[in-house]
Amino acid sequence: MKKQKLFLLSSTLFLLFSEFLLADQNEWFQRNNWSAFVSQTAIYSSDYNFLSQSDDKLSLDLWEAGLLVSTAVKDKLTFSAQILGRKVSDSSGNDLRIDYAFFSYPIYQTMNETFGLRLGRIRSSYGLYNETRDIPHTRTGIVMPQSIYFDMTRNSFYSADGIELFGYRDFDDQRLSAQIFISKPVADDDETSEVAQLTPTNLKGDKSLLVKISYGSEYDGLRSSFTYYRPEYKVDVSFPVGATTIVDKDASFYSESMISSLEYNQFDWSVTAEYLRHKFSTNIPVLENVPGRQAKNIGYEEAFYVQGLYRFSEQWESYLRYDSTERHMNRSLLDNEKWHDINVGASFRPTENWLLRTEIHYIEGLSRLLSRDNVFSSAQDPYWTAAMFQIAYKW
Amino acid sequence: MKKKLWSNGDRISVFVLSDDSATHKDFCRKLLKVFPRQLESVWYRLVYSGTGEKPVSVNSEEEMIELVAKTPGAIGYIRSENMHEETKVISIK
Repeated sequence: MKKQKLFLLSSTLFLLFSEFLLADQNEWFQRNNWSAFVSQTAIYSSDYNFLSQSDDKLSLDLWEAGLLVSTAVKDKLTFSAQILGRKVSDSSGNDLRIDYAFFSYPIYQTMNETFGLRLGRIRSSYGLYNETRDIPHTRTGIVMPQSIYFDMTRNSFYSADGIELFGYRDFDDQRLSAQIFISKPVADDDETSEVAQLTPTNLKGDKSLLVKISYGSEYDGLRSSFTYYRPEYKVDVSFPVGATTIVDKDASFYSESMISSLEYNQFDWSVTAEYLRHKFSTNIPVLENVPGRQAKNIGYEEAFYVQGLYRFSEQWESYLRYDSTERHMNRSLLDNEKWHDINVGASFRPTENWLLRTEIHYIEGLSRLLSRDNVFSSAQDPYWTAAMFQIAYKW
Repeated sequence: MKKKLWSNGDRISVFVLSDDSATHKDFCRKLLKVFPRQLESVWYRLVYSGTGEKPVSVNSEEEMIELVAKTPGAIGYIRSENMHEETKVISIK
């Protein structure tokens, strides 16, 4: 891993140094931009804690804030960074992190074609909306569709340290673009809690590959994309098997996602649909010698959402969404293996900067709830509701 | 809107009128066929992912003419009755 960091650092310094040698120094750090946003959400939910300690009470746990800067370091070499704060609930603590901080350089660029690379901590361009899922003004609704943009292991899907090759070609008003992102995935308490039954310690991101192809227009007509994303982790585990405790310091797991996305935009309405086929696998080599146990375990789930959005005016819009996730099992699904969420919401933007919105969820299933915030049992009601209100401001 | 260079290799500098300008609203609705908020969302998706820049916002058509005229590779929009000799007109069909 030291080699990877050394490579990133040396490549960055090389780019900077070579640009510096070629540059007229008074052209450095032009076009400096900064932006910021902050939001506060109130959530009430029946029966369970949903992104906050909101079980049968009003919770103000969920807030988001971000500060970003971008600058043209020299000519075509740009640098962008964002610090993101997002507190989901008391159990998650204050989540303040460097969301991204990367250099971007177009190696080849014409009016209609670009090929370049990015280096540093880069946002994962998973699906249509992962890159900006935390910014209230760029998403539909307070809560992203949990089927695709789940919050259980959000950090590993947000951004990672690595190198991204990107390219695009414009055909009239349609753009064909492709990205290949090789990185070391982030691993923290979120990822650890999702494999808590294995008593994990020393969880480390190993390697990750993201490939994305997209085509279409951002706001008029169809846009589509396909994303393949596979983060891999190494972990030490210990757990009881019979009367003994199994310890393995060579365990690993990975998550493999394939997301197909479609969106159709017109002047006053939009329809969006995204489909995820998700595979997750654990490998605990020491179990090869334990009778009746398998070293490798693989699970699958399918998830999708369909969403319609209608813009009544400059200020008012409303959406309706069906959001679904199901594990693949050869039996009836348990409540924590499925998630069917019908939600409807409305937003009001009195000015360019302010945003007010509300939404209601009717949910069957528990599979997208944070396990560290909830205690599950078979006696619990799988049908529950949540209502929320958000106020946001951006600069 | 996402293009960064002209065909001669010059960098494109985009200027827009402020959100509450009637010209900006007409430009968005009649030419781009979007609400101004949608256009802004596209810009903000670029800005907040660190992959693009927001256009420079100006307060009036006079300021737009002045800045487009003096900035190499700049593009903006004004009402046709306010056309100015120092800028070049691009017709949209």
